[in-house]
Amino acid sequence: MRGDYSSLVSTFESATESHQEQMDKVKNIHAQELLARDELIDRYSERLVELELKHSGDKEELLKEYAKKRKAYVIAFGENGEGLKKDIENYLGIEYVLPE
Amino acid sequence: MFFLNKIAKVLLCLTLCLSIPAQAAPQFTLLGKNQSAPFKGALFNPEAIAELLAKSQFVKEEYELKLGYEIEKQKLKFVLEVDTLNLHISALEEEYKVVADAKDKEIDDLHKLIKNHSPATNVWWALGGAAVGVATTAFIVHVAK
Repeated sequence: MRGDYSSLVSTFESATESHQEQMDKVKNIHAQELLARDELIDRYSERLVELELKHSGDKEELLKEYAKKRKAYVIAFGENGEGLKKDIENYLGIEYVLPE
Repeated sequence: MFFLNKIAKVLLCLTLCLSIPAQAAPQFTLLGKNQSAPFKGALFNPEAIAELLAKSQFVKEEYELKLGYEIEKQKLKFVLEVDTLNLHISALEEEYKVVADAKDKEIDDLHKLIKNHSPATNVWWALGGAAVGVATTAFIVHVAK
């Protein structure tokens, strides 16, 4: 009877230890997951900033290109208008007619 | 009366049809200062036409740039979501393994406990009990005689 009791107690103690160990391991897994998730979010934020910087750089380039083109068209009109004539026909699809 | 109405309708149709001017094909020309224009229209100075041409290209390129940017942004967002979900799956798998191992250990311990109280041990208790019972009965019978 005494043997039964002591073996029951030892099984209970072993189960308690096992549960404690299990809880510690699960907590550790959660902590690791949170750390890894934070790293992912940090990496995402960095890449988003890089992307935004690249986009604003590209947009700036595009605006410069736009200003350059505008200037070039004004010059083209001043010279003989030939280049401009082709561009109007190509981009706007309007037919050119000779002036009177 | 009927005829008059019909004639009035026909005249109205003709008037409307004739009053609509024929649509001319879109045309342009390049003029020097004080040069006479071949047709009626709006005259743009070189800066205005340059603006029109440059802007039409700029708008298209700007749209493509914005589209590419938005697509990249969405891609990044989805990559983050997928990575987070994969991470969660790995964590859940690990957690499951820990719990399953603990349960296996617990089941083993319980098996051992049951094994220690198996019928093989109980047989001796039964035999001992029977022997004591027989001895007691024999003693009582002997005393009664």
